[in-house]
Amino acid sequence: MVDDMTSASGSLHGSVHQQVLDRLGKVFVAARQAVESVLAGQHRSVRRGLSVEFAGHRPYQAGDDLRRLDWIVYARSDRYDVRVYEEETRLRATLIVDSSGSMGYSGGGRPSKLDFAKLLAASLGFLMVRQSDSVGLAICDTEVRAHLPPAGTMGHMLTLIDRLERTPAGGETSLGGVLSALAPRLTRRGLVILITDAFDDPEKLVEALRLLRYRKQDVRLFQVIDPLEESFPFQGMIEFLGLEHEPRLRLDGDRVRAYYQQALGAHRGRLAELCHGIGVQLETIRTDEDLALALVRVLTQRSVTAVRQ
Amino acid sequence: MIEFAVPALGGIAAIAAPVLIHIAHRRRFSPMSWGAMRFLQELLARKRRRMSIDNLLLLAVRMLAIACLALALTRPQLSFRAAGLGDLISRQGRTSAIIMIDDSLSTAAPRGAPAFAAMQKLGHAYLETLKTGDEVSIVQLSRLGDPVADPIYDLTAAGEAIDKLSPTAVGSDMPALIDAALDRVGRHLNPDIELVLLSDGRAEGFGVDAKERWERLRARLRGPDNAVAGTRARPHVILLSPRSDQGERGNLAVSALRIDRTLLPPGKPVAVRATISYDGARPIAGALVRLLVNGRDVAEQSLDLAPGEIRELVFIHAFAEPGSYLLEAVVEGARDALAEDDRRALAVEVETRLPVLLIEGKAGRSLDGSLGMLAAALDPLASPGGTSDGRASTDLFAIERAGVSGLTEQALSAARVVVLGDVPALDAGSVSALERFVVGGGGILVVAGPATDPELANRFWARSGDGFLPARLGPARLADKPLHPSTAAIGHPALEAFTSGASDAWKEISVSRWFPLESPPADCERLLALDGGEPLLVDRARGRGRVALLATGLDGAWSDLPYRSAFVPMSRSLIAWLGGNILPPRNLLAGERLSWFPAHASATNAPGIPTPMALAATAEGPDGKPVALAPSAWEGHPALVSGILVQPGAYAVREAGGKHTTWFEVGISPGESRLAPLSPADLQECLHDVQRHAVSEPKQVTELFTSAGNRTYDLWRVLVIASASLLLVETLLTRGLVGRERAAA
Repeated sequence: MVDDMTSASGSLHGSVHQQVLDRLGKVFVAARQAVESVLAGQHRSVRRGLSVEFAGHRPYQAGDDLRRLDWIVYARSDRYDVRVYEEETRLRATLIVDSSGSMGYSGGGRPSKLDFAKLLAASLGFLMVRQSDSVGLAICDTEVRAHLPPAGTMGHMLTLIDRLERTPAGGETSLGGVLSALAPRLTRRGLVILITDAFDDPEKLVEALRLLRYRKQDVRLFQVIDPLEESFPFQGMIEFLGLEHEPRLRLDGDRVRAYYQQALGAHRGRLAELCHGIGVQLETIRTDEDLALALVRVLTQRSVTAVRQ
Repeated sequence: MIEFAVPALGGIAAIAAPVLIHIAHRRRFSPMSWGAMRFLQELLARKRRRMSIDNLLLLAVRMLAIACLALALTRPQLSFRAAGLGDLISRQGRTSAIIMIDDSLSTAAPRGAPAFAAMQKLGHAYLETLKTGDEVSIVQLSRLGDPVADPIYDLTAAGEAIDKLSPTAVGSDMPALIDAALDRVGRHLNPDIELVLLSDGRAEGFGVDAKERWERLRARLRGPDNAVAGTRARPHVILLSPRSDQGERGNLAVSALRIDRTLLPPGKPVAVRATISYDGARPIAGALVRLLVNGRDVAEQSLDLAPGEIRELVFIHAFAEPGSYLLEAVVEGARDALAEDDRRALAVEVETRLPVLLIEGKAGRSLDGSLGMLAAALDPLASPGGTSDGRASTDLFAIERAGVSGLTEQALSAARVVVLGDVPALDAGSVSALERFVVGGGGILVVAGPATDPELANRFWARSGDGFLPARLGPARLADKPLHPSTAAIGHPALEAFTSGASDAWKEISVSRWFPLESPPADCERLLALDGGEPLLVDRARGRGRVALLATGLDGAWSDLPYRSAFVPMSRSLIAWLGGNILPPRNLLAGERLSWFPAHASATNAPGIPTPMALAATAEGPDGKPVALAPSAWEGHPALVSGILVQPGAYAVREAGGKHTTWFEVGISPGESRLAPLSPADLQECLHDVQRHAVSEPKQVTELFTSAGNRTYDLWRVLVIASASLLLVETLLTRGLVGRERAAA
């Protein structure tokens, strides 16, 4: 489907516009934690303060501005309550795309994981810009290859997409170190969306995510994975050529399948466990999934979670 | 030994199939770019070793299974045969067996259970394998030219003939025995030829070091390249030797008995040296060695011997009267493996006079002449007509001086030593007479000098090594300054005077002129050599006699030898050495014949010696029984000769009238005392390219010719079972491997 999209418009920009965004509609990107943006938007802030939309009352406390005291309530019930309004905030999101060599893998004629990640990042970016949020971009493998600070204009979005389109896969996966290097640049509260295959050491990766969380970033980890990487359907003797310059391996696909799947499962389980431990939502998206449906699934789930919270 | 009923060993190549499949499989690797290498690497880190071992094990099991199956298809049979038997002997037709029997002295060992008895059992076992119509010859080492059976068809008689045999005193000589057996092959009619050697398997008799002799023998045994085994050209060789069982007893032997003088005068003490050797494992204490002279004890010594020790005992004895004596050394007090070598004897002759003929190139009287000084050294009291005080000379050496013309047959017949002093030339008759003289046992000393013509001497006396002269003479050489002898063969009987080493008087000799010797033959012994190694005095055996050559003169012109203190003792010991031969020989080895003629008759063909018919004497053996003497000849001279003597011990020949007794000793070869068995390596060295069959037990002899000893197992059945078992193992291994993979999944 993505191929179809890409070929139809001839560019990432086009494909996102024509198909993905149309189908996404008014799905809201919800962030779990509040941001300090003061700009109005469609994100509900968990922070209560002065704003145009009434949220409710609370008892007066020493230090409250007397102008917020609801005299009508006092007149009726003889209670000192203060009016509380919902603030509308502007989300500052940073999309981090892993462009390491392993992301270049594509199986069964599908787009590579990197292509899928680019599409996912662009879709999310458009969604957020359309909601008047700010979107930034970081592309990295063993180091940060590109970094665009968040902005909320469509022109910025086009620049972001252009940068994504020019990103090839290469280098080795070292997200842990890269995110640690990137964290100091994220000075304000915001949302970090990490799109990667997460074929890195889970402990190092999660340690870096913990650092982002410490920097008051709401972190969401999208693990992009090729279906063949899950099923490992290879038969006979295969010479595996590493995309990150690993030494080649000659293996019997049938005989190593079980061991491989066991190792992959253990890795994913460990990653999910660690992410849960630091409050990072981990979503796994396969490259053969319908991108729009996947976004709906992920974002809806996120909205429900946010509402519950 | 494994035999293949179906020689299709190519099937074994099938074991390469798993490997080829593996290799072919390896070539079908499909390359694939892969991102999740991390998990494969982890997997390999954990599983590579296990999988590799499993795979190798699986590969090995598969190869082994196929190999077993392929081998089984060849229907191999495993034959168990006694070690050393070699291939079976297949008799196609009638057999001609030539049984060689080593009846040497060593076969009498060990005491109580002699090897010879075991050899006889082996011989009977072999005869039992023969059938009616087969021919048998029996060749005995002690009677090589006189076979017991030659050949016979009566196998029972052959067995009885073997039973009658017993160890003799002859020395072991396996090559001679095999040679004699090969000579008998032509007398047999049956086509299948088998040479059967019955021996005690001692190393001594095989003479491993005689490589050329064995090489010739092997060539005879092998025959032409295309010869078929078992035929006349290449007979079967069967070695029947009982296992050596000398036990811990060891063997104590009188291995040598000798006297330190070559000429024994009466009344003078001589040292009799007996060598005692012991090769046992335990020390011997309190053994007694006795010296007997003509059967009477004259001295004894006790001794203790350590394992492997060789000890020389010295007895001093003086013979009162001239005549023939028998010296015996007997060791007692130790029950060793072989009794016969506990005694060794020596027959000697005590003489009052040794006739020496001096032929001078330059005649003279008293100290003059070419050999005047030598004559004075040998017999100082001699002078024409007697001594100065009128009494006759009684010296040991009876000197006769003459010119070249005095070298006659008659003079030679009266002499035992001839000295040629500075003789310029000899006529052909004299040269011929001298040749006969030395070959017959006489001694010659050639003294070169100014008158010696080296060209004539080389042409007529040396004759390219065939003449009596030990070495060719080069042109006389004059030294710038006198030279001295630097080396001497101390210990040689000819230099007996210097044996003690106390006297180095020979070093004082100055030589100013001499004849260099041109490339002396290998058997030419250097007794004295000048500075620089030039030989001055050499000695060489010739026939039964000896010839010495002094390369400088004795008249004082070329050297000061006659004036030196070393001259007299050296001259006397040299002449005694040259004339020390007592002939006919008194000390014999078993297997030889005794020859005798009266003591007053010389070894040379002198007129007047008794004719055979005139000789009359009786002989007595060691057991006291008479020994027959027949009129015959010894070295062309009339003599009484016995038959072959195989019984060791003393033999006494008494001249008719009983006036004189002459002692003879039939000794045993010293090698017979060495009982070490022949090692397989030595046997291989002797018969390395001859197909042979070595057997040590009577039962094995039977198995050698029948299939009874050839226990055969169908190995292919075992291989089929093994292959099936391996396939089962392969299945289990594969299942285990898959099971582990599934469990991991």
